[in-house]
Amino acid sequence: MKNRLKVLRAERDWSQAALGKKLDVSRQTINALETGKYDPSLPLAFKIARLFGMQIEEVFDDGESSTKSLH
Amino acid sequence: MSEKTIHQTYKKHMVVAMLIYIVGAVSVAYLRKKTGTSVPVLAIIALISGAGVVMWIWAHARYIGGLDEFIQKLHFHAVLISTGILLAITTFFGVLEEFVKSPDIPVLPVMYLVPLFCFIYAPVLYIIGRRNGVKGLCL
Repeated sequence: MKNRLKVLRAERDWSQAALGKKLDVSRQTINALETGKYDPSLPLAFKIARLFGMQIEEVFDDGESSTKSLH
Repeated sequence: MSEKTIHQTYKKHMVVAMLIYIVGAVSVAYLRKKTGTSVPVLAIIALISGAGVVMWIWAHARYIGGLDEFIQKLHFHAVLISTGILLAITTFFGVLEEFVKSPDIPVLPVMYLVPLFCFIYAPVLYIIGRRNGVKGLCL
């Protein structure tokens, strides 16, 4: 799953460690998220979206079209 | 609780658990050789070593539970792979012991399974950590 975490973090001039502290996770976790090695749990994804004042879909992209509905 | 505090607490519990494990094992070995302690008593003393292992697993589970979700995932992955390797080794020796029964075949003493697990777990965790960009992951 792709995400905009690196861009959003850079826009705010936060280090990985600083972002990790805000989210209560390790710097390694932020690095793994940014490099796409790890997809966050739903609670962490919500926490990230809330921190940046965005919807989850604005931060994370699972590759599916946002207009596609579930049937 | 910070990661440092979690790690320090774990180290304290692990040292106590390992001391219990060693004291139990050494006591049985000593009493068996030096005194005429009966087997049931030795078996009860051997339970002390087992209690040490239970304490270590409890401490380790508590430690992993306190880590953040990504590091937790790496630990779970390492535990799974290490358990798989350990089971493969024990199966290999178990099959030989059960069906071949030859003096040429070395017997794997069950007592060494815990240290063997640690010797497998440590490098597996290190490798998994390195592959995921995390340095210094350790038991």
